[in-house]
Amino acid sequence: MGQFTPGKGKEFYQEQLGYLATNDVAGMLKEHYHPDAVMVTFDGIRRGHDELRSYFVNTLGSMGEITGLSTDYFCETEDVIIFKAKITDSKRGTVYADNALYFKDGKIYRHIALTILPQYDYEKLGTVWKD
Amino acid sequence: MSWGQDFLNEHVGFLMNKDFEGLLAAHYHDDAELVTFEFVLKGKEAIKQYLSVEQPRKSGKVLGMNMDAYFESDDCILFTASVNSENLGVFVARDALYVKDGKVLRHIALTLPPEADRKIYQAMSAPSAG
Repeated sequence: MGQFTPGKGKEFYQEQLGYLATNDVAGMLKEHYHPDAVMVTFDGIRRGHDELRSYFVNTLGSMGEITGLSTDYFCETEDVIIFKAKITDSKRGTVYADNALYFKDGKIYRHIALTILPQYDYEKLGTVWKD
Repeated sequence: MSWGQDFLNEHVGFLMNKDFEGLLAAHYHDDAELVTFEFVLKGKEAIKQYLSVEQPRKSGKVLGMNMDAYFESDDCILFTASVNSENLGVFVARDALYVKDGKVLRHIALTLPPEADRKIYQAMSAPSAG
């Protein structure tokens, strides 16, 4: 399918999972991410395909064998997909992924993850709110 | 203070003062959308109706709020906050704002009902079986 089409969000999402499961980062970026895509998470910002490629390669490399994957909540509009998924792998254990995708021209323009990962020191990263 | 923290502090100020008219005028695009797992609201009026009438009816008085995690980029604000409310008890608000030309175009809330959240936190804190 490649591009996101309103009403076909689940197909797009499943295709995204397929790219990740097969480590096809290049294919995923080409088909699913806008050239000006930015990913924002509590541990950093990745701008453009090169930084996104490094992020995905490193993240997939840090994961062990995936032993469980379930999508618990999912909603889509004409230009947004949100989901909550549970991913278990042999190295990181179980991670609850809270993600939002905002689309422009059928591709992910902003990938926002509200996931809190156990291995990060968010205090050091400056992510913990200071009044 | 960063642009995002200023924006968020002002946002919370509008909410605390129940100035929903001001909030929507200053912080939301006309075609803003609020996207959640429970509903999608399109346009300022629908968002104002929810924030001013439906949400207070559902959650009751907000008894306390603690901002836990916060991050921003050039045009996105992310935060999680623990909220204690009269009717719902404690729940975790997980919100993202996509801001274009100084106003929110997409407000995304990945917040779950407190009971569903509690189950996740219990599972997260349980010792691993492996």
